[in-house]
Amino acid sequence: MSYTTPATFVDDAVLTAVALNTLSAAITELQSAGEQPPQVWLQRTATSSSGTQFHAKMRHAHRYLWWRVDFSGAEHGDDLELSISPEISAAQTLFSDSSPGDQSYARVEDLDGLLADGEFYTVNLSITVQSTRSGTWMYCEERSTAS
Amino acid sequence: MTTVPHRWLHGDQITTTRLNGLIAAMDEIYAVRRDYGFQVATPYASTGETFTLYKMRRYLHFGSVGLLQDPAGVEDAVALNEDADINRGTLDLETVDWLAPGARFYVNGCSWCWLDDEL
Repeated sequence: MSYTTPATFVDDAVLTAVALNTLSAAITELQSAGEQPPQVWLQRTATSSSGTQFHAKMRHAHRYLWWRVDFSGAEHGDDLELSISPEISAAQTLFSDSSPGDQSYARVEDLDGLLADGEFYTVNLSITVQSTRSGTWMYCEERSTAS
Repeated sequence: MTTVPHRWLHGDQITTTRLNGLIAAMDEIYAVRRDYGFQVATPYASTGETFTLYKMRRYLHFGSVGLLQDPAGVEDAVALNEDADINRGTLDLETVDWLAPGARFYVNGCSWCWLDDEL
């Protein structure tokens, strides 16, 4: 649901419960958009050249999944993969690169059609780094916008 | 925001100007905040780690098995066991009589926690 401006009141029209309730519905929408969840993120760092798996739990509410992995230097990674394992919907691999060359991967994945509203799912991040390198999962969050 | 909604007093007339002032104020809020949604994932804990949480929502969703504990160590701990079919458990925090709204509590042993007002 999204906010829409309620119909303007006009003189001599009957004041109805329906009309007043459009105000309540609009206020409720504004309130829900402003609420912040209580969760906090904890960064996870991988240092193993034989591979590391990290997991995080999310409850689907917004269309886009934002995530970011920073490596400690260039030419650092041997593998980077992000997938989701929902409780009900089908598992999906959202990103996979067997030879990541960038120092930072900040990505936005479109979850449209992949999950039911309110469905819990696990986000799985697999990182394999080269010797003496590290890769840090900086954040993982859902947003209603892609930019 | 510039529109101050009318503060109603007993006997006030309900005029279109006053009612439309509410709409103008809401539109101004929306112009600033939009309906922007945002939420952060909760990372899995490593073995033996403890979550420190506050009762700000009604339901505690969790993975694996563990204990909900009183930080003061006075009240009895509550056992947490997930439903093996979905790998998730849910506890209605209203059923923990010693846990007041806003109170701090610990969850130890669980792989993840998620506070929510929805079941």
